[in-house]
Amino acid sequence: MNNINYLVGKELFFSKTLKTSRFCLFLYFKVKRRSYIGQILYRLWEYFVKNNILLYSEYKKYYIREYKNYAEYLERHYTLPSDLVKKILNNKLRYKCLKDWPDVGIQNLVQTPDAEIIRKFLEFLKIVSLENYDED
Amino acid sequence: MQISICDIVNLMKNIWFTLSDVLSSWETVTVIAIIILNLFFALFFRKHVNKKSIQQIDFLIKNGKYIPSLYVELNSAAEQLRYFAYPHKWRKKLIRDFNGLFKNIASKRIRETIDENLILRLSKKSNYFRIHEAIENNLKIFEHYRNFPYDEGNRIGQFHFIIEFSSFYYQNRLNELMEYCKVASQNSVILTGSAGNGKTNLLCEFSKMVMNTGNICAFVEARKIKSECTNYFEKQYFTKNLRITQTVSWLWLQNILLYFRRKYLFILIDAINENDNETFITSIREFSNQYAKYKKVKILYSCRSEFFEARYKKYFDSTLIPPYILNSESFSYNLRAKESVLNTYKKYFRFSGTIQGLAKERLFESLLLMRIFFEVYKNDGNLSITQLNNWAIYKKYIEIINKQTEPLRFEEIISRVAALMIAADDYESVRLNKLNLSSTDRALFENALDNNFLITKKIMLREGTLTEESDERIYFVFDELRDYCISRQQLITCENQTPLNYALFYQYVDQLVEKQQSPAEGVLKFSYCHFRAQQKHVECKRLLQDYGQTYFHTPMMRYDKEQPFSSFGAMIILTAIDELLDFEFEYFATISLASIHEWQDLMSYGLRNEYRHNQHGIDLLLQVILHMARLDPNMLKERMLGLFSHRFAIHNQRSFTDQYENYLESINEEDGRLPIGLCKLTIIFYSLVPTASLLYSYIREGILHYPNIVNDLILEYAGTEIVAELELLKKPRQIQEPINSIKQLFKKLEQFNETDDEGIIDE
Repeated sequence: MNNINYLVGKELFFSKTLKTSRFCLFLYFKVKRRSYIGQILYRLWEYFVKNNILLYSEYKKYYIREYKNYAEYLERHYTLPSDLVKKILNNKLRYKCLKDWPDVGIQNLVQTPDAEIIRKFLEFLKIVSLENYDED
Repeated sequence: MQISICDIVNLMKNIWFTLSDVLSSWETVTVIAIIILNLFFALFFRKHVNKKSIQQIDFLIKNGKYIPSLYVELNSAAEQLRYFAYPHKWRKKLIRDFNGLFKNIASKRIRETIDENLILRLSKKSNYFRIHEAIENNLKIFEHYRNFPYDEGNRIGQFHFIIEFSSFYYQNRLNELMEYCKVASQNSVILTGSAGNGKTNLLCEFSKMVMNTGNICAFVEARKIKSECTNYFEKQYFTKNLRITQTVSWLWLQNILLYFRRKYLFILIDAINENDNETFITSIREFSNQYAKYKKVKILYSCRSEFFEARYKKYFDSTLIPPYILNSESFSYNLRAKESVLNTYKKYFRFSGTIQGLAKERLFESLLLMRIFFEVYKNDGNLSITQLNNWAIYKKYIEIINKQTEPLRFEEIISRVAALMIAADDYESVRLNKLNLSSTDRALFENALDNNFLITKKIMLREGTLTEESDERIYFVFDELRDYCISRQQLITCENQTPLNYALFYQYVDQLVEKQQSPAEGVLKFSYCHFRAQQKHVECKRLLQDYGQTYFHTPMMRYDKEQPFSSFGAMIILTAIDELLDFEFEYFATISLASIHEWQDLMSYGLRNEYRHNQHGIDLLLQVILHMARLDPNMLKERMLGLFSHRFAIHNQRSFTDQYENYLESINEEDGRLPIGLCKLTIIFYSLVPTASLLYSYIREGILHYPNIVNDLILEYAGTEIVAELELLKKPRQIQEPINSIKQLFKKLEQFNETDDEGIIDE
C-alpha cells in the first residue's frame, strides 16, 4: 500500500496508520500532551485528520448505484486525474476537506509561508502537496 | 379446549358460503378485478414510464444536446440534487456533517465562553425539521457575534475576536448544510442557469441515477407539451394503455405503493423557457398544486435564468408550496473541475493541440465560450494556442452555423438584427416581425435557435389592458456576441464608404460612451482588435487617447481577477493578441507615471504572467520601464520607491519586497535559476531603490549566471538617466552587502548619519 498522502488543493486524501495517529504524534515531536506546544500540535492534527470520511464505505452507502466502480467514483465525484487515482486507490483511503475549518488560529498558522512547524507536520503525516490543482 | 377436524371443516365451509354470497354479486367482482388490475399495472408502471424517459435521453443524445462522456461534476448542484432524490437516506449524512463541524476543541471553547444555546450535536434520529432548527439557531448566534456587539466584547474580552473570525467559517459551512436541508425537504425544485451551463446534462444524469436506484422517472422536454401539463401527463403516462379515467385515484394508489417500496415518482421537465405556449405556462401552477398533495411525487424543472425572473417566477410563487430555486451559477467552479471539462472536451472533439496561458484562462471564464471554441476547432491537430482571439472564434462559429442552416442565410439575419438594434438604440432585443422573414425562412430560423447564438421570447405588452398584445423578440444569448455583431456592422458601414471615413463610427461610440450603454465596452475592444489587425495604428492611438480613461465599472471591480486593470485603455491593448507595439508600451508608461495604482497593477500582472509562463510577463515590464525612463525619469524613481514603500504595504497587507522575494524564490525553485529578464528587472529595482538591499543575493547569482547582464542593460537603456545608476553597479565594491547581525546594523546606522545621500554607502 502506498503510504504517501496527497493534499490536492484544499482536499486531503490519506490512509490512516498507527504512525500518524494522535498517540504517535506526541512521541514523534517529543512533546508533552498537556503542554502549550502539545495543544497546538493536537489542534493541527485535528485540522488535518479529524472528522475524515472513509471513502470506500461512503461509496458503498451512497454512491454505489451511481458509479460503476470505486475508481470512477473517485475520478468523477472528486474530479481527480486518473493517474492520481491509480496511485491512491485503496479501500482504506480517507478524505478530509480543509476548507472552512473553524479554528482560526490554526488556519492562520497553516497559511503562514515557511512555517517550520507546518513543514514538519506535513513530513509527519507524509503529505505531498499538489498545489496547482485548486485555486480559490 | 380441543379443536377437532370437524370444527375446522365446518369453519371452512362457513367462510366459503359467506364468500360465495359476496362474490355472487357482479359489482363486487368488478371492483375486486379493477383493484387487482390496478395493482398489476402499477407494478409495471415503472417500466412503462422509465422506457419513455430513456427514449427521451436517446433523442437528446442524437441531437447533440446531451453528451454523456462530457459530463463533469463542476460544482455542488449535483450534490444538492442527490439530497433532493434521497432525502431519507442522506439525512444521516447531513447529521454527520453537522456534528463533524462542531467536533473540535475550538467549538467547545466557543460554546463554553459565549452561549449555551449553541447546538453542538444532533442525534441520529433527528428529522429535517429539527436539523433546520439547529442550523438556524447556530447561524443566528454566529451572525450576532459577527456584527461585533460591544457589550459582548466587554463580557468575554479578547476572545471575542476569535469568535468573530471563526463565525465566518462556521457560517459558510452552515449555509451550505442549510441549502441541503431545504432542498431535501422540498417536493419541487427549479434548476436555473445561463445558456450552456449544463442544465440538460445535469437533468439527464439525474434521471439515469434515479432510474438505476429503482425510482420512477418521467423525463420530458417542455417544448413537447402542446397543451396543459396535467392533460399531457395523463394522456402520455397514466391513461394511454390503461383506459382509466380517474387519474387522481391512480396517483393516490401509486403514492401508497411507492410509500411501501420507499421510492419516488420523479417528473422532470427540461427547459420550460423553450415553450412559449400560453396554456402551458398558465397550467404550471395547477400542475404543481395537484402533484404537491402526493408526498411521493417530486418535480424538477429547468429554466434559463434570463427568463425565469421575468416570466415564470410569478406562476411558481403563487403555487401552494413554492419550489426551491437551485441556481447552478451560484456555486463556484474549482480549477480542477474546469481542467477536467477542458480535457473531456478535447477528447470528445478530437482536438489534439495544446491550449496554454492566457487562452486557457479566458476559456475558463466562460463554459459557453469553451464549447464554442471546441465546436470551431474540432478535429484540429497540431495547434498550439496561447492566445485567444474571441472575434476570430465568433467569426468561424457563424460560418459553421451558416452551413448548418442552409439555405437560410444566418449571417445576414445576425447583421440585420445588429442593424435594427443600432437604429432603435435598444441593445436588449429586437422585434421578430421587423426581420420580415418568409414562412419557410421562419421555420428554418426557429430550428437554428438551438445553436446558443440567438434566442426568442414571447412577451405580453400592456398586459391586463384593452390593448394587450403578444410580441416575439430576439435576443443575443451572449453579450459579447452581440457586441461583436454590432461593432462588425458599424465598421462595415464605415468601410463601405468612399473615401474611407470612420467619423460615423466615432460619433456612434461617443454616443454609446456618453449614455453608458452596455455594448460600449465590447464595441471598443472589438474595433481596437480590428484596427490593430489592419495595422491602422492612427485609429488605435485615437481610441486609446479618447476612451482609454473611460470607466465602465465601479472601482471595486479592479480587485476582480478577471479585470487586472482599472484602466480601460490597458484592458483594450491586452485583448489584442499580437505583440505589443511602441505606442502601446508608451501608453502603459504614461498611465503608470500618472497613477501609482496603475503601476502596481501592471507590476502584479507582469509578474503573475511570468510565473505562469504566459505572454506579457517581464518583457512587458522592461519595455514599460524603458519608456517611463525616457518620458520622466524622476517620476520613474518615485514610482519605484512607491512600490517598495511602507504605503504599499498598508494597502496590500504584505510589502512588495516580500511579495517580490516570494516570486523570485518560487521561480528559482521551479526553474533552477532566474530567467535573464527577471534578473534584469531585479537589477533595475536594486539600482533605483536604495532600500531594496534584500535583493542583493539574487543579483549576485544573476551576475554569476549572466556575466554581461549589466552591460546589456546599459546598452538597452542608453540615453536614459538609469544608465548612471547602472554604471555604479559595475564596480563590485558598490554592491551593498546585506545586514546579517545587529552589530552590523548599528554600524551602518552610524555611517548613515554621516552620509548625505540616499543611503548607498561608498566603501
